[in-house]
Amino acid sequence: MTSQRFSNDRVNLRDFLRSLLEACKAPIVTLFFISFFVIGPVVKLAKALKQNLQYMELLKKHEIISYFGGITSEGEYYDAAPLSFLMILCGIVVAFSLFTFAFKKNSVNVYFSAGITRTRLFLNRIAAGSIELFTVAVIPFLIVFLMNVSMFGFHSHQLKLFVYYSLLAFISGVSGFAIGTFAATVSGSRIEALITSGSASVITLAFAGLLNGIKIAFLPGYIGGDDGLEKALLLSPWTCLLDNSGVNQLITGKKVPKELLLTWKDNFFPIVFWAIAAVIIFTVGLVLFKKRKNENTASFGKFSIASGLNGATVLVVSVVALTEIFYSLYDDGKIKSVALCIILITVISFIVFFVAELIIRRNFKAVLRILPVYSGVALVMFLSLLVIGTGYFGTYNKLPEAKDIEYISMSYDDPLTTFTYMANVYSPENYEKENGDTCKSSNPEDIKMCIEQFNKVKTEKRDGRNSIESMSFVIKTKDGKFIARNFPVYSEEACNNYNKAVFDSDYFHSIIKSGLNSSLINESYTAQTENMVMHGTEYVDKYIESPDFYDYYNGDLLANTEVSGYETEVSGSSFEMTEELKAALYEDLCNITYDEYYGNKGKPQGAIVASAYTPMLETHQYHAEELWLDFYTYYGDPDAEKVSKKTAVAYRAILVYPQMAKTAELLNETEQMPQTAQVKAVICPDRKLMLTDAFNNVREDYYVYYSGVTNSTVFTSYGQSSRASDYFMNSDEVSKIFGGKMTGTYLDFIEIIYGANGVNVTRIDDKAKAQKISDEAYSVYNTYNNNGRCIFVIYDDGSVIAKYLPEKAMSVLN
Amino acid sequence: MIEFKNITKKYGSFTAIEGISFNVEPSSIYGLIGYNGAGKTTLLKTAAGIYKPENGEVIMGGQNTFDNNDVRKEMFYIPDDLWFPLSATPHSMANFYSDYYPNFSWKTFDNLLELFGLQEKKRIRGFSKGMQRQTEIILALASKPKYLLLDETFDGLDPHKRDITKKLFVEYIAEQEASIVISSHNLAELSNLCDHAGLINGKHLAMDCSVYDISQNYGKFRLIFDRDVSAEDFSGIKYKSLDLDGKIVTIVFEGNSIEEKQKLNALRPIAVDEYKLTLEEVFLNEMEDKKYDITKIFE
Repeated sequence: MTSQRFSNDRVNLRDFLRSLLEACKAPIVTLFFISFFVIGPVVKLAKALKQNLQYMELLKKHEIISYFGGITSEGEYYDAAPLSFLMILCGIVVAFSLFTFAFKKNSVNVYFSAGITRTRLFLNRIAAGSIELFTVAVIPFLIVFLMNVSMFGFHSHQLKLFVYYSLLAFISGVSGFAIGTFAATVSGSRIEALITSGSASVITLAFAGLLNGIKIAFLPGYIGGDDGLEKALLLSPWTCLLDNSGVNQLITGKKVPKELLLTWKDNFFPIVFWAIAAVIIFTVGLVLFKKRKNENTASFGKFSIASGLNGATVLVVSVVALTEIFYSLYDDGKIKSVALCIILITVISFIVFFVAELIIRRNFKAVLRILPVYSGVALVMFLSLLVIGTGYFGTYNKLPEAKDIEYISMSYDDPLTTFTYMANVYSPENYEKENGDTCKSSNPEDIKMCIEQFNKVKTEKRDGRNSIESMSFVIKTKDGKFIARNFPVYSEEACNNYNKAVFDSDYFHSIIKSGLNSSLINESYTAQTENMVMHGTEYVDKYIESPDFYDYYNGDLLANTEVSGYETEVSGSSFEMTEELKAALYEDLCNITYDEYYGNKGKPQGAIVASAYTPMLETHQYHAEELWLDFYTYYGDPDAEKVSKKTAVAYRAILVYPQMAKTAELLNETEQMPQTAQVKAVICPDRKLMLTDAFNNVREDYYVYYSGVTNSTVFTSYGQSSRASDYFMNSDEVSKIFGGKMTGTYLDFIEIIYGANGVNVTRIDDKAKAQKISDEAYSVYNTYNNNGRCIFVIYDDGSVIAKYLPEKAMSVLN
Repeated sequence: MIEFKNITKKYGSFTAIEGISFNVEPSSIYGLIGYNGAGKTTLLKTAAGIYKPENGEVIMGGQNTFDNNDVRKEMFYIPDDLWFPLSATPHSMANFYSDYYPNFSWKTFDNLLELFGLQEKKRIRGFSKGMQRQTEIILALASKPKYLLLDETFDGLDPHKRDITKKLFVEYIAEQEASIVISSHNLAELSNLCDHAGLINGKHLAMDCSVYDISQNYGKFRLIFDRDVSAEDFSGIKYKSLDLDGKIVTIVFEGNSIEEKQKLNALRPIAVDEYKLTLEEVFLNEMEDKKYDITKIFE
């Protein structure tokens, strides 16, 4: 007779093998797809290399090559999202295949009465599914790894990439498998399991989004984007693992550059997190599977966990959607009361919830029976909304005493983005790390000013108006707490008063000094794009430039700068920023008033602009017909990197006005100050539309080149990659590449772009009238709520400057 | 031995069966009877470990059956609603069950296939209902379980196959000392197959006794009178049922009361015939709580 132990082992083994067979279809299809997209390019590369040994030598010499066949124009980051997506989907399908017997009454009869326990039934399927997903995850990347080793020799970085991508694929699959298994365990039918899988995937995100959305909508001053949402993103594989893009370069040399290293936080933490999460989900699934009420098989809405989860998801998602809708209505001024919004959201969402429950449970009495639950949830929801809507009953925005504040930092509404790094409050926890000591003040006068402005803007009434700007504050108390707020401002007066207060403060002057000294370099990240290396923090852009890293702009280039804010691919006259010039600029900027700088109706004499021009790193183009794409780019020129590290600056443009005497004097001494020109004409569109907006509306069709003051052909692509200006100086080339229409001069450009938007432009050549119009116009645009005109003043030296004629001064046009 | 101990099973707030207890001895067949929806299938599924009872337990060979590996490989449940995968053949199903039943006998399987005249490699989905039922019976017996739970197993079988199946079951329990619980509506069949019978009525086990005892427990008399009689004439007698047809009266007593017989004789019938009740008649008598006047339905 067969021993009992042997019999049980045999039964388990046979069940396991049967499970492997039952679920093999989806993994085979997935393996085919992944292999096609992952191995295919490497095979093609290997073929090309075999036929072109010279190309092979070149690749080896460059040391850094692509792990996946080197045929991508998408930069060095391999987008792993499709891989993770496919594997998560595969995991769910595998789970449904393995547990499909649980959805039919007749198969339940067989499996749950057969000679195997529920535990073994469950564990065998988990083991079978996991092994299949592991196989699918490892095989393609193992082949890629071996092929790379055979082509370029072994390097430990290759091994790390192999481990990383295999793990990412495997854990993505397992996470989907875990969610699918859990859903199958607590559901009565396939459709219910499918819905439950969806609910289990989105409920945490929806809940976090709900809290964040409600706070953004109704909590005054709330800055949004808090850590809760980030943590919630971890809780769904669809967001946690899909965002987990790795670095796909491999190194044939010895030292791996920092930017190519895989990091724990970005690459491995999400994988480990979901590996642990999957084990927990499987364990919970096993417990529930053992307790599964098979009498509810082939039903919908009879399993309480699935019903609860699906009902809760409907509730949360409906509240999220309703919050969006009502916030939009509130924001548009169609509903003026936050309280009304809260009541309507509560009532409507519960009607939706009740109807959803009726559909899910299909039993009115059963739905009625949980009315106390509804009431409890409704009450909690209403109270939560009430607490948030009243700013925690007024306590949320109550500041401590000035003596208890360690430092303050405030934003500044700068239409010229002169200094861009102030008071970025989106991540208060990282504020000190990101900003160092430069953007904050412990000066008692500044603290007093900050408290005063805080209390003013927080009481700004909406009165159905759209906000002009948002004012941000970061306040650190002496006991280490951060208060970070962002208040919308609705009136021009409040906006101006705030800006004036900040502009005149010691706090702002110290920032000007810091900016001029370019001492804000923070190497917290290095992003390497296809043809530009950019160092900086998430919020403070610092551009890498040529050794002559300041450009002096005048004439039509200045106009261009103004219109687009910081469209600076084109070169002005390069000159060196001396210590004397920095000192002069600092003194002038401290002395000039806010009105003089931003409300100056005169023509600035120039602008010192931190150019975004980037020295092109060595770029090689290879034609390899065998490859899928026909060019191949590599990076890592050490000379270019040295240059880029010493030349970062922290501001974008400083206008030079005649009032800035010290600066003007210095520029005159060095013969860099342009001559003062006279107004010659004015171009005025017949409705309010910024040139940048006008261009953006039709940018698909128009690219522009025009002749600058030096008569050199200049191409600007208006927001396109700056490579365009470096590569293509020939209009025929541009036309060929972009297939766009060409304009002639800058003035032609203005006319064509406005014309394409259906806006007529009038040219006023009467010099006296043009001068009068120019006198009434501001030299910078603002977003004030009035229906003025964006005009262009043409000077007799050929320069063109964009200005804004406010609504109240429009009578000068007549 | 199979022991049903105080089994209660609920579907949500609805109680399907309550406090059911009985035993099934080795080498015996227990017939489970009851009207539609009485809870027979629920009881069998609970015994098979498919459902977990809210209260009580089913013991087979001294062990609780729920989620018990050792018991399950000795137990086979043939449900009313059979399951075969889309492309299954008798052979592939035998493969399937041989994975879960260590005692599965391919020899028995082959012998039974031959006996029933079924083809091993044909798709079961192409079989008639009766042939599918035969396939399942073959698979069950080839698995050599000690405990067989059969739910309406004779449904769809032709009289010949029914006869063979009955003989097989009898032979099987004698050979394997197995215990069988079978539920059926075909009471005539159960009466000459089962040793014991249990009747589920109103969630409870209303009756549990040997088939022999069932006929002994009831007395059925046919009386012929020389005059018309009415129910009032029988008011002094404790009967289970009374059927009046002019001068002919059919009366059923519970138990075997000599006193009642004497009372009948005191009514001076011309003739008295005594019969044994069939299982079906017992069932109908037990179920006579609800009486319908069918003649009024189509008025």
